Amino acid sequence: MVLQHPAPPATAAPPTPSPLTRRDVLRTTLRSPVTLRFVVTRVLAGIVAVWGAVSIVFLMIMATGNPAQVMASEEATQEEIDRIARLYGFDRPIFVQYLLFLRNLVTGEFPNSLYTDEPAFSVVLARVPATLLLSVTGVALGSVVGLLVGYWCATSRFRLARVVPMKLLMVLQSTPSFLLGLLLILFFAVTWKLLPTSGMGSWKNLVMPAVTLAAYVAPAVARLFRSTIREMEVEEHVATATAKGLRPRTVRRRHIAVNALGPVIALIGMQVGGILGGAVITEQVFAWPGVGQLLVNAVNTRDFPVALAGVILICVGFVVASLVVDLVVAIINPRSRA
Amino acid sequence: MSAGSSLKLALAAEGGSPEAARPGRTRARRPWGAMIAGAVFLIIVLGTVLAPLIAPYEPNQQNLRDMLEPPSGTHWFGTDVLGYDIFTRVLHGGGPPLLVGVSAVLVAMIIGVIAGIAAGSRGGWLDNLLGRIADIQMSIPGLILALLVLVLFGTNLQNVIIVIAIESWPLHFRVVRSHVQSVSQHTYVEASRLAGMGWRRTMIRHIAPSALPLLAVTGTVNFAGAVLTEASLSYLGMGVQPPTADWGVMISDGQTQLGAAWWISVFPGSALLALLLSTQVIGDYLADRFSVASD
Repeated sequence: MVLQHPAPPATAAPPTPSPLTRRDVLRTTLRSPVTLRFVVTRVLAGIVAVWGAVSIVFLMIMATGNPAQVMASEEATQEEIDRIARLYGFDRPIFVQYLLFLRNLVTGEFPNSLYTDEPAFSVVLARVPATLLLSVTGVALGSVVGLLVGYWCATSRFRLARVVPMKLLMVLQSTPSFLLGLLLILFFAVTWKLLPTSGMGSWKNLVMPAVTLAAYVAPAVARLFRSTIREMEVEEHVATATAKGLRPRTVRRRHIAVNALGPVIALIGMQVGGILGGAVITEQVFAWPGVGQLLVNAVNTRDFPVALAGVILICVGFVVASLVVDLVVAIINPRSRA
Repeated sequence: MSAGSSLKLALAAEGGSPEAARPGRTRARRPWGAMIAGAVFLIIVLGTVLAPLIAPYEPNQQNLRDMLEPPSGTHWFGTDVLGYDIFTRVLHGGGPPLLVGVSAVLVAMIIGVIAGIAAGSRGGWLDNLLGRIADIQMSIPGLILALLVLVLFGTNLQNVIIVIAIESWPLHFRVVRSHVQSVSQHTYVEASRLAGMGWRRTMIRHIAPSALPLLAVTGTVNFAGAVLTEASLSYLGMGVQPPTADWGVMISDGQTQLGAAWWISVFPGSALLALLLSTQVIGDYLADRFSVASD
């Protein structure tokens, strides 16, 4: 990849090109992996995406017909509803309402939770670390397992070893997270009493939720990695590597597998939405105190301010995660820096 | 949940994947896997449709003397806290997922096909606009969008169907659009136009039929996704509401009783898994058969 950067101007005569000096090498290797312009455009696109998501939320609140009612609790008096209507300017023209909605989001002036009476955003923010811990562990575990299985299934000499793990993963892919979680609880917590059923505390609490989330990530990763490896086997650079006498294993690992990583990372980027959805369900199954569980509880108890804050925060998290994946892909594969 | 696979599907339809182009694999073998999956699928559909006839009990018939009975001759799958017969409720519980799956896929397909034909044949600003909308659509986490809509507009089956349809039309849209674009280049389409056929007739007679296999593939993928979303929402308490029999609700009900009565959630869970798995096997077979890579 380093070789893709323009070589330093050659000073020597064409027949004997000057060898790269140590300084040249350092200059190319220490160069920032992505240009500032690329980062700025992507961040701007991310901000536009967040704005789009927030606008959709706003439009949906408006579409219910009586937004002040939505924001207030069910037992709220007319007085209370009017107060909220004034605060958000729901009695003003819709464009002004929209601007006020955006301003209130930026300044964090969101209505308090209907139950705990704390600011909705701080209630949600308090749950972020738990969700982050779960999703990062789950995705990491799922990717590692997926890559290993994919590599194994693409390269094993035995037909059974190639086919059986893929079939197993297919079953796993069809298993809904909540069902898998339930079966894990049934065996590991209820029957064998190895792990705690729910909650958060020691590392033992993390095992089952992380495995459940990983089971969502691993099959897709394995399938894509396997097919990318097999597509790449016929490429010319692989033939070159074989022709210059490298061991087949080295060719497979250094020249095929490493290059097949790019699409997999892009895939994880595309799956971020699904992973967040999976995290919501996983948190519910294991009573993991994250944003997802809070969101579901808020929806079920009609605590709209918290529910809306949760949705908006998840959208922001989604955009940020996609941004990070985009940057990683760009660093790994310069061709994607369009 | 199928955002990634659907995108790959669209890509594959556009470019034709090397995987599908690889020669050598004979198709002469009987597709045993797909046939078994088809049989399982049929059994589930029949069992659900004929539930009122074959179920041994009423789905909402409480029987407090027989509560939490383990599986036995009288109650094949056992009973739950209220003495409901689980076997009966598993038969009836397939109704909401199948209904939501079929209707959401139909709605999504109608939107996707119309938009896809319009974008693929007309191109220009319309194509750009629809493509952009589809992009935005796919960039919102599906389940989160569903939660938001159901919070604001109420949790009922109709809203669940609408939400899933809105979420999944881009899947059909992308495939149809690229298919129309590529087929329009063919000589026979040009020939039909030269023969004086109108735009609409060309679409219906020459372009639409060749898109049917692709729609069979996207339809199965979408169906599995729709069933999964329905079950997830019901599990979370936001789809079908409790007295009605539904797999997702039953799984969630049984979770609190897992130590005492595993059968309450395990049987509906197995039914759901069987439905999803058979759909996926059928989908993979169709994708393979019609040379569309689905992974």
